[in-house]
Amino acid sequence: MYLLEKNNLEQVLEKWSQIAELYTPQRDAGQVMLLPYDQSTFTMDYINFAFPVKEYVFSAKEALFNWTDKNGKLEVFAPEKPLKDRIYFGVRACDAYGMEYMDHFYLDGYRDNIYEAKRRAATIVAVNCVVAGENCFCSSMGTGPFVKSGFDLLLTPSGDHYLIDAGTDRGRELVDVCRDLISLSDGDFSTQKDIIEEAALDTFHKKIKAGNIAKVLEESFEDPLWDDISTDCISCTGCTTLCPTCTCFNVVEELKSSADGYGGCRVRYWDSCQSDSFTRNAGKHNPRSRRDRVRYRIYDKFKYIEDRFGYKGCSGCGRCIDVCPASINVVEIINKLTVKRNPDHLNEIDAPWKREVI
Amino acid sequence: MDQRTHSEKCEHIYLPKVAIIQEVKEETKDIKRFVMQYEDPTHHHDEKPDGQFYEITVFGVGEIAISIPYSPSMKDRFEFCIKRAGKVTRAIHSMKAGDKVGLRGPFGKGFPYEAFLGRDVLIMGSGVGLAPVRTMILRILENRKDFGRVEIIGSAVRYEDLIYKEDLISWNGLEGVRVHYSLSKPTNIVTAQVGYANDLLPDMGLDWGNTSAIICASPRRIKAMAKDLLKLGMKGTDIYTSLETHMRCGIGKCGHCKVGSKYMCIDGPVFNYEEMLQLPPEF
Repeated sequence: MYLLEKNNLEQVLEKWSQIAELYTPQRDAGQVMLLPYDQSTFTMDYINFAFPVKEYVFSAKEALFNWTDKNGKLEVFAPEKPLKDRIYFGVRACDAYGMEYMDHFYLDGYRDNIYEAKRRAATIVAVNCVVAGENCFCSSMGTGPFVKSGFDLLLTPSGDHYLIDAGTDRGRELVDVCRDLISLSDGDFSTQKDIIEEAALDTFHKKIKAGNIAKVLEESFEDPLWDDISTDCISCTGCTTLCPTCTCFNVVEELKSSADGYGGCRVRYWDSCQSDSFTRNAGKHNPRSRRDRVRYRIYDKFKYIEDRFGYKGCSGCGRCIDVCPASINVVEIINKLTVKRNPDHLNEIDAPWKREVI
Repeated sequence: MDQRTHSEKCEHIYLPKVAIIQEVKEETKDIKRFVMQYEDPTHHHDEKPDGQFYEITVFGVGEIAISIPYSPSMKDRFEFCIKRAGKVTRAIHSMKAGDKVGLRGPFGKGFPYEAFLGRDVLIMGSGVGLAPVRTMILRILENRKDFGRVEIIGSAVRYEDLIYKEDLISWNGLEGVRVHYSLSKPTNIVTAQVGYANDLLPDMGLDWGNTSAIICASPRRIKAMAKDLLKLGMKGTDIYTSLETHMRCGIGKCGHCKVGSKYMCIDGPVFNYEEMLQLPPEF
C-alpha cells in the first residue's frame, strides 16, 4: 500500500506524462472524456467517462491488413503496430472490468493480434468510485464500485489522500518513478477502505433485484415485454457503441490506387447486434427479427456470455441506459421480468426503482 | 495478459495467404467449382487437414466463409464449390484461372469421422449443401471397409441444380453404396424420386439403431428429416448437420454467427441434432 497526497496528484501526472502518453479525465464540451493529459482541462470531478476506455484498445475503426497488387504481384502486409506506451488514468471499476473482459475475449482461444498490440502498450490506473451515477448498477453486477481486478495501479480517494494499490509490476514501476511523491505505508487500511466502499454502495439508485438473472431470462424468452420494447427501439446502436464489453465488428475493404498498381486495406469497425444487417445473409434472409434483436442483446449480456465463458457479460456501467433515446433500461427490464416470474418478491423492489417505473 | 495460454497459435490471424485459381468449372447455373493452390506451395504442408471451412478473400471486395468439400487426403490444392449469392461470390464467379485470392483457415469443427466408423451411413445434401458433406463422403469411400452400408441423397429443385453430378453417378456404382435423387421437378437423366426426400427413408432398410446420418439442408428441412429418423429408431446424437449462418471472422470474435451461447464458426458449424435443438429457437 502506498499513499499520495491529493495536492500532489498533478505532479505525479506530470512525471508519468514524461515516460508515456498519458490519458486522463478531461473536461470536454460538457462531459468528461478520457483524453491526452492537459492540465488546463484536467479534472477529478467526474462520475465516469462518456466513452469507455475500450475505444483505445479496440478502435471504432482499425486496419486488419494492407495489400498491394503491382502488375499482378499481390502482396499482403500486417498493419503497423502502435508501440508507444500509454497510461490510462482514472478508469472506473466498470471499465476496468470491461478491459479484463476484453482481454479474455480477444486473447483466449484464437488470439486477436490486433487487439493484443494495443493492449500490450496500455497501462491501467484505476480510481475507485465513492459515489454512483444516476444509471450506475455495477454493485448489482459485482463489478464495482470498487475495482477488484483489471488494473495495474489503483487509487482510492480517502480524505486528502489517495490510498494506492499496485496490481502488477507495471503499476509498481509507475510508483517507482514518483517515490518522492508517493510513499510506502505498512499501515492496514482495509477497514478504512471498507467504510469508504460501504458509503459508496449506499449511493446507488439502480439495483437489479434478481438473485439469478440468467434464470429469470431463461423463463422469459417468450415474454410479451420483448414486443413492447422492440417497438420503442429505433436501432440507433448507441447501447452497443458505448458498451465496455461489446466486441462485435464488421469488415470492409478500402481501395487505394497508385501509379504502379493498386491496393487496399481491410478494416474492421464496430458493428452492432442491434442493427438489421448484423445477421442478414447474402440471400437477404434475416433469421433475427426486430424483437429477436432487442431480446438478444439482453440475453447475451446477462446469460449467453456467462453460459459460455463463465464470466459476466455486463459491467453495470449504465451507459446503455444513459444513451438510449427510447428509454430502454436493462435494469428496469430485468426487474420487471423478475417480478412477473416471482410475484411474491414484489416487496423486495426498493423505492428508487419503484418511482421510475410509475 | 502475458500469462494467458493459447491453443491456437498464429501471429497474424486476420492475414490471408495468397492463392492462385487453377481451374474453374461450372457445376450449375449459379454454382461454380474452383481449384486453387497457394502461391507458396509450402503453405499446403503447414496446415492441419481438419476444419470445416476456409475464409476466402477477393482482394478489394470482401471475405466469405466457404465449406471444405474435398477429402483431407487431398493435400496439395483446394477445391471449393461456390454459389453466387452476394457481393463477394459474384466477384469470385467473374474470376478465371490465374487470378489470385486470399485464404485463411481451415476453421470450424468438422464432422466426427471416428463416430461413424463401423456403422451404416446416411448422408443427405440439398443444393449447394452437398459441398460440406462431400468431404465426409469421400473420406468414407476411401475407407469403404470401415463402414456398413452407405446411402446418399442428393436433393434439389431440378436435376440441373445438383452439384457433383459425376460424383453422384460414380458413387452409385460402388459396392454397398446407393445414391438417391430427390427432386421437385421430374428428370429423365437419372431415376429420381419426385417429392419429399423423407419418403425415401423407410425403404432404405438401414440398421437404424446403428446408423449415423448427416443432413445438410435448410433448418426447416433438417428438423423434418431428423424427426422421421428419430421415429425410425435413430438417436439425436447420431444425426449431424452443418449450420451455416452469416459468418465474418471465422474465429469467434466478430459476433455475427453467435446463436445463444454458441459461435457457429468455432463451436460448429457441425452440430448434432440434440445440440441444434438446444440453441435458442431463432434459427
